[in-house]
Amino acid sequence: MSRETRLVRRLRDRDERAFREMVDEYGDRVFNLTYRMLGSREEAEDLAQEVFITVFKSIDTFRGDSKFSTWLYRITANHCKNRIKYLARRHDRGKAELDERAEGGGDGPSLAAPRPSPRPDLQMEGAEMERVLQEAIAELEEEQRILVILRDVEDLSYEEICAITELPEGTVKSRLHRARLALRKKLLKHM
Amino acid sequence: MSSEQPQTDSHEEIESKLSDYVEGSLPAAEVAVVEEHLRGCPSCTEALAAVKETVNALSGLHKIPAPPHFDREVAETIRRRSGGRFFGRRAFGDRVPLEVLAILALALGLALYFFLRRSDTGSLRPFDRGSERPASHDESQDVAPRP
Repeated sequence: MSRETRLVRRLRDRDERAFREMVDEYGDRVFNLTYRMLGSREEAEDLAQEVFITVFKSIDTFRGDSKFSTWLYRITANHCKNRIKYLARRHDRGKAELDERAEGGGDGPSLAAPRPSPRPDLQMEGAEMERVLQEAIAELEEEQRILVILRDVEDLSYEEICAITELPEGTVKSRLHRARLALRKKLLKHM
Repeated sequence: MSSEQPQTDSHEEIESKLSDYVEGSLPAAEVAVVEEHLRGCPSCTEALAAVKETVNALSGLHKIPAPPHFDREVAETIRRRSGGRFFGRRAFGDRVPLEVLAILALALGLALYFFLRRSDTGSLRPFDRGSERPASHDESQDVAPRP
């Protein structure tokens, strides 16, 4: 029996130690993905927690057809999409209430994702290029964003990306190519 | 039909292969076609440079680790939301669906019933009304032959 199968079995038994092992092993990857998708540490941490809670609650539905990490990434990607939509709605409501925001012009980042928060820890982490890249990623459409992050940031194989997004390889490749070109345009605008 | 149409198609086709070309996942025969096209197409050459630069920039992004004690915080959240009942080894009934347990119980009951029916000493065996003994009980086997 593989280590992954044993871990899943222990998770099904609601073994807290197995749960900690899982978070220890996959926590950084899930957090990095949520952070790159949302561009905010607080949101990323909150969402990464929700991802692991979902994994623990729905572990009985994992059939083992794919790798556990693929299943975990799929849950993370779906959570990210939902959170982006939620944040966009919240942002819209806030924008309607604040006149000064309404006057801000249409050239800012997409409402689908907030700008990275200007917290001191983020400023310390990031060089200027990193900040600009993160802003440009946040302006991509959600579908493009997930592909760029999975392929170019997380360095996943096309096979894994297809399993996570449930898209055929040709679609993934063409969308990814368009996403890279779109990102390049946005980068030039920010630089 | 415009004479430029085939060139436009070719241009789009080539551009769609640029990501694969940069990643080195394009078959050798197609690499040759792309490179041949790139030699005479400034816009595709520009697109190729854009893809390369973007991929390089993205691969240089730092991996952001989860905050310290993240695992403890998640476990605490689960414990809080479940009122402390979430963790812990699950009972047999939680792991095996009730339907399966019901079928097993029924099968076990039936097996026990038939076992007792076939048993000579089983209490479910039909009794001979007259003797108050099991009907098929062969007394001749139990009684010692008379001298």
